[in-house]
Amino acid sequence: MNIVISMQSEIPAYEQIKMQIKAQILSGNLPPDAPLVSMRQLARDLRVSVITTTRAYGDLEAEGLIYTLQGRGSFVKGDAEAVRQQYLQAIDKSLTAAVEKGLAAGLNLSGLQKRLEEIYHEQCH
Amino acid sequence: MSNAIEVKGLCKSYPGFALKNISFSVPEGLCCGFVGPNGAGKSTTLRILSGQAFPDSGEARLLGRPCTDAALREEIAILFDQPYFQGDWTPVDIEKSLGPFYPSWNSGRYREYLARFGLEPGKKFKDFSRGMKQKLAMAVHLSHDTKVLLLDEPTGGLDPIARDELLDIFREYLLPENRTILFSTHITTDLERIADKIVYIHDGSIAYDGDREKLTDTYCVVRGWHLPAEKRAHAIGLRQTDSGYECLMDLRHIGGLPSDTVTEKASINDVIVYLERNAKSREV
Repeated sequence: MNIVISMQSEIPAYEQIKMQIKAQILSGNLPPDAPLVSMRQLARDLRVSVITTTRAYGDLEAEGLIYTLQGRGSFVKGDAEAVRQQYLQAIDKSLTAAVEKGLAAGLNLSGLQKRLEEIYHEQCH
Repeated sequence: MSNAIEVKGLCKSYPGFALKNISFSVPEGLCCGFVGPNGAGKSTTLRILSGQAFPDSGEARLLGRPCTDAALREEIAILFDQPYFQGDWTPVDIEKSLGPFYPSWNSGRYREYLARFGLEPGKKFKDFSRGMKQKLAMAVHLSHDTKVLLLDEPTGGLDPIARDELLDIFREYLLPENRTILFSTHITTDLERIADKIVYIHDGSIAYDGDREKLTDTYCVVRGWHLPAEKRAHAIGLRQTDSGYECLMDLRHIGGLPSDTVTEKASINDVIVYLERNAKSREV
C-alpha cells in the first residue's frame, strides 16, 4: 500500500488517503481480502492524526470497498470488482453525456480528446 | 468510546492566577493538543492530572479513576520539559531503580529502545543532551504498559531534528489502540500532524474544545489593502499597516470582501496568535 500525501494541498489529508487506497483497490493492486495497514500504524507512518486515518477508512467502508473485523484490522472487500464495474458504467454514462454536449457545441473527436486530456492532467497534479 | 481523561469544573487559585471552572475530556485512543499562552493554566492542569497539585474544587479523572489514586502511577506516563532522573544515573541505573516499581516492566524492550534511540547504557544522565534525555524518558515509558501520556512542553529547547525524532516516538506510543496523549505545548506546529483534538485555554478558561481540523477550518487568514467598514466587526486580531491590513476571519464572513483580498488557510498557530491579539486589544 503506497500512499503519499501533500500537506500543502487544498484536498484534506483524509480525502487524499481515501482516494489513493481506492485507486489501488480499483486497479487490482490491492486484491480482495488483502489486509490494509492498521489505521494507527498508517497515522504514524504518514504523520497524520488518528482521526484522519479513521475517517478515511470509515469512508472506504461506507462505500463498500473495505471491511473491518473488530480487533483484526481492515481488508479489501471481495466485491471490489463489482464496484469497479459500477465505476466503469458511471464513466460510460458521463462520457456519453460529454459527447452529446460536445456535438451540440460543435466539437469534433479531437476537440473532445483535447479537453479530456486537459482535465485529466489537471486532476493528476 | 470512553474518556481516558476527564476534567470537570476544575478550579485552582494561586496569587495572581486562577483556573476558572475548567472542563474537558479526551476520548481513549486520541491525541489532544493543549494550547494557550504561558500562564494560561496548562501546567497547573497537568500538575493536577499527574497528582502533583490538588484542585480547590472540581475533579480530574484518568482512566475513570480520580487522578489522586496511587494505583494510577503504573498506568500514567509523564514527560515534562525535563525528566527527573539523578544526574549520576546511567540508563542501566535507571532501570535498576525504576523497573521494580512497574510489574509490567519489560527489560528486553528497554534495551531495544536504548539501542534504537542511540542511548549508551553506561553514560551518565547529566552527560546526555536535552533531546537524548527526553528520549531516555520515553524509552522508560515505552518499556512498561502505560495508557496515558501527559506531555508538558516536551519539545521545548530542542533543535528541529531532536523535536522531529521525539514526535515520531510519541506517534509510536500511540500505536496500541488504548493509548491516549494530552500534549501541552506552545510550539503548535508540533500538533499539526499528530493531534486529533485541541483544547485551547486562555486566562484560566477554555476558549476552544473540539476537533483540530474544525479549529483551523473555521477561520482563514485575510490580507488586503482596504477592509470594508461593514467587515470590521468580523476582523479578529486586526493588524493595520501603511501597506494594508491582516486579520483572522470566520469563513462565513469572507464573502463580499474586495476581489484583491488574499485569503489563506489558517494554521493552529495563526488561530491562536490572532485570537490572543484580539483578546489583548479588547482588554486595553
